[in-house]
Parts: sequence; C-alpha cells; structure tokens
Amino acid sequence: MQFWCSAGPLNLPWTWTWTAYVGVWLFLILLVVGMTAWNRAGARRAGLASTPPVHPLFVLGVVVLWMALDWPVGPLGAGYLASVHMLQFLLIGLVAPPLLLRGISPAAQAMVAGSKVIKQVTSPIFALLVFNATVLVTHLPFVADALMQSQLGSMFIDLAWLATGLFFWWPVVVDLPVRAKFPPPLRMLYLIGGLMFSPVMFGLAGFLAYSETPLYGWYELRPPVAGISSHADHQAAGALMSIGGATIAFVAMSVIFFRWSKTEG
Amino acid sequence: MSVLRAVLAPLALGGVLIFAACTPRGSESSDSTTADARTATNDASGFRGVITSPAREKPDFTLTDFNGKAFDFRRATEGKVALLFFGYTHCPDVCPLHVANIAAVMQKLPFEARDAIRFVFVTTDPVRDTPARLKEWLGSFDPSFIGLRGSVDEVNRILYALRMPAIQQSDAPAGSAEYDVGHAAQVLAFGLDGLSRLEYPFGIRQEDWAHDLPKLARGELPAGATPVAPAPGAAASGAAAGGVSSPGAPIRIAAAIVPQPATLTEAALYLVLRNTGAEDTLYAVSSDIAQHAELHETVHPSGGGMDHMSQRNAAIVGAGQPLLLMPGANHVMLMNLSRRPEIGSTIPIRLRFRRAGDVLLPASVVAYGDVERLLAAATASIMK
Repeated sequence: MQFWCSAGPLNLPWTWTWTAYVGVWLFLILLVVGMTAWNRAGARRAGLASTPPVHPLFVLGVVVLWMALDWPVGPLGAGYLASVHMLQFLLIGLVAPPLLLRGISPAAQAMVAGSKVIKQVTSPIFALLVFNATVLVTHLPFVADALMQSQLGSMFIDLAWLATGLFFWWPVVVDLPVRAKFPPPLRMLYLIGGLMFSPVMFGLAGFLAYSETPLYGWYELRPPVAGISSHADHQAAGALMSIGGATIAFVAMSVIFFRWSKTEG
Repeated sequence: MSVLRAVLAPLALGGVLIFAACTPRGSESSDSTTADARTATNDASGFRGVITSPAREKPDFTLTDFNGKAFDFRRATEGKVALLFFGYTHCPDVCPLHVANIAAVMQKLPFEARDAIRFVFVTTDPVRDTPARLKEWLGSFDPSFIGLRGSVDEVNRILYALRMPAIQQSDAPAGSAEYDVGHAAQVLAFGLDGLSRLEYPFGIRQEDWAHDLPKLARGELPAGATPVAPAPGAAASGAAAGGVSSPGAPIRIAAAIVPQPATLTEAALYLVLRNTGAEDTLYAVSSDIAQHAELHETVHPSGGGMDHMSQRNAAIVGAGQPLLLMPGANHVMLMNLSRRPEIGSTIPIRLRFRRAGDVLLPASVVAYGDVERLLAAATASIMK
C-alpha cells in the first residue's frame, strides 16, 4: 500500500500486481465531498428548497481522474513509461477539469463570483499563462526527473496539472464571473492559442519526439515494460501530447461552436 | 472567502496527511546508486564514465560464443574498444537497460566509430542462457553484440581477475525455475590500448554513452591518464582493425571489405575512406596473402560495348575528400591469392600514400550479398 503513485526504486521492474493508493482515494473522496458541500452551500444561500442533483459530467470527471491517478495508469505513468505519463497529463489537465467544472451549480458559482481571487485566477490571460507555464515547468527534464522520484513530488505534479487545468478551463466552461465578457469566438481563439497550437505544447512534443536521446532519465533508466524502448516511448509521448492536446481542443471548440450556432440561429 | 476556505480545506488536509504518511521511495538505496554514479562521474576527465583507478588490464580468457566457437577475448578485441558486461538474459532490470542503451547509441554512431567498438556480454547464468537464447536476446538489441558463455567457475575467475564481485545466485522458489542472479552492474570499457580506465555503472544514460563512445573509438584517454605503449604490432593492427586510424592520422578508413572469392585467382578489395589532410595520392596496395595488388577502374565505353577493367597507377584523394573504391567503379584487385579467406576473417592490407605514408588495416572478408549494404553504410557515415 502506498499513499500516491510512485514506481519506487529505479531497478524495480514493472509487474501487474495491484497496489492500493490510499491518497488517491482520499483525494477523490475529498473532491466529491467538497463539491457537494459547495453546491449545498450555494443552494442554501440562494434560498433553494433542495440541492441540485450531481451533474453526470462531474461524475465522469471524477472517474477520469480516478483512472488517471490510480493503478495501473498512475504508477506506470509515474515511473515507467513517459507515454503513459503524457496520457495522465491529458486526462488530469485537459479532460477531467472541464468535466469537473460542470459539477459547479449556478448557485455555487454565484457564491464565488464576487471573489477577487476567483476573478483573478479564472481571467483568461492569467489562466492561459499559468497553465502553460505549469505544463512547461513540470515537463522540464530536470524538474520531472527530480519530482517523479518521490510520491510527494509525483503528487505535486498531478495536482499542479489539475489545479491549473481547472483555471484554464474555467472561463470556457463556467458562466461566472467572466464568461459574459468572453464570447464563443474568443473562447475558440483561446483554445487555439492556449492548447491546439500552444508553443509550449508543440515545443515539448517536438523535443520528446525528435530528441536524439531520451529526455527523461527517470523513464530511460527504468526496466523496460513489454519490450518498449525508451526511444519509442518518448516518441509516443511526444505524439500523444501534440495530437491529444489538439484533439481535445478541437472537440471543445466544436461543442462551443454548435452551442453558439444554436443560440444565434 | 468562507466558501473558498470550505473548498480548499479538504485539499489542505490532504496535504498534511501526505506529509505525515508518505515516505519518498526515491530515497531508497537503488536510486542512490544512480545518484552516486552521477556524482562519481568525473567531468574533469572529459568522460562521463567513472574513472577506475588503478586501471584494469584486459583479461586473458577464452569462452564459447553463442555460435559455439571459442572466443579469445583479448585477441578478438585487440585494437578495438571492448565494452565488457557480465549479466544474464532473464535479468529484469540492469542488463536489458545497459544493453538497450548501448545499442540505441551504437546505431547512431558513424560507421567508423561503430566498427571500432565491440560489445561483449558474458552470461552469469549459463544454465538458462543457452547459446540460442543468448543469440536471440542480444540480437534483438544489436546483431553485432557478442554473447559468451562459460561455467560459473570460469566466469568467477574472470571476475576475480577484474576485481569484481563473484556471481551470486538466489534460491528459486520451490517448484519454480525463476531465480535472480546477483552480478556487477557496471560495463567496463577497455580502450584501444587494452586498459580499462573507465566503467559505466547503472544510471549511465544514453546521452552519456553518446558522449563517451566516439571519444573512446578515437582512442582518446581520460584527462590525466598516461598512455601505455601498445604491444609490438598492436598499434598498426589496432588502428586498422577497427577501420579507424590512430587519432590525428589524415586517412580515416570507414570500410575495407573483401567479398569472399570463389577461386584463388583474384579477389576484389573495396574501400571507403576520407582524407582529412592535404591532397594525397594512393599509389600502391599490397597484402600478405596476394602476390600483388592492382588498382583498377571500370571503363564504360562511350560508344557502347562491354565495360572492361583498366589498370591505374594511382588514385588522387583531394584534401578533405572521400575515396570510394566500389563495385563497378574504381577498386583494388588482389591477384594470385595464397589461400582462400574465410567469411568473418580478416586480410592484412597495406595502403601506400605519398603524404600520409603507409596505412595498415585489416579488410573484412564478407559474403557477396553483404557488400552493397556494408559499403552503403560506410559511405553514408563518411559523408556525414
């Protein structure tokens, strides 16, 4: 049993042996409890008779997060395969956040709409910069190699992706406090510049895919999993980052566009 | 703000729990091995490998290779950089990593550097590592890697001579053939002079190999190391055996190959080299096994008709230019051979240049089917 996903000592080969990650479960429970409490508080403040039901997309977001953090994806990504680590990044930073944000009821949104902190962290420019800076820093080889060696470091990276992913997606998904000033065309531009053609994402993906030698020592020096060479693994990680990021942005833009067309039409 | 506190409190609680509960596993022993290896890497030496002091002498042993033939390690790697590693094919961690990383880097090296390096893997698990298993496993990384097999006692004697720990075999669980074999985790690098001044422990990365292997292939030594005079004759054959001239020599050989001749009458010699010095002239070629050697050019008549050979007196190689002696073009013919060379053997060749003087090298005897591929690889490497 471990607290958070970490593959342990360098020379420990991967085995398909289930391991319990108590910290992941605890975190997910706290997330659900926190969201429920927030929605209840929002409903009380708005004078609603009952708390709105949990949004199914929020449940899906929790499931996505659980899959990304728990066995086997969690430990494989935390220490064995850079490509799985990249899959984790896509799930934690880009897929789960918009789904989780759909779980915030309008009444709960209204509770924080006036908060200066919330206004600041969810303003599009700030969110875009913080998200991309976090993506860049957490993927720098010396940072990733240092942090991935411990459960604490691995958890820090996962939570940094989730937190800045929530900031990034907030102005796209949540109505308050700034979405009125952030119309659909701007939201699509935001996704194009901040995700689909983000210089950070493309640059990192290029380095991963075309580097002569593997960038991350942590993955290079791991016992191979299923005969996958570290070179092929890094190439797959680079491809996942660029294609995955662009695909997620495309899907989100499509949703925004068709909803916008409906309201305009 | 009270709502913010309500939302953030669970996260803060989680953080406290983490600090209280988790023990970073990265601090465990095997990770520190990597850190130690990195720390020990002596940048001042100009190499990423760890300096061995005193240097290890190349061990004199003969084991059986995966083709069932006797392999005299010292003789077979004379004049080459020999990377010697003791491991086993069922090894779950260190062995496949070292082998995979070296193979990945070797594949990207220029031909002449790659050809100057021999990777020799001695199994520490002769029971499970049958010759076929060794060949298949090493071949999956790089077909040029050599696998050797001997009894545990034989291998332990070699390890003892190298000041390395003996093989330690763990007990297999009852009813299981699975067991681990304890062995040294470092790769020893023997330079062209037969001494190992560097070793590469677990934790060495591909970028480290990519930094050091070309330097080793060029015969460079770690800063401060004293060169050792090679045994008589070793310098010439050594420089040539790897297809690599001694550092600073203007003629750099990328390939010298002889397709196995059908008869003793004649054999072709193909060469790929680059002249890194001033313009020079190759005016003579000779070999111990041929009565004489001729420089030929293939003439393609302008008005049609059959191509034919024409003897040339010399070949001029411009400054910094390659010289390609290839099938269907200029090449060397070795005439009236004293014996028919075997595939896999080498033939001593002497190239005489007006400026660079004599260049001695061994030409590899290969099957006709391999000529085109080998020359293409050598040409590509020398054109880089």
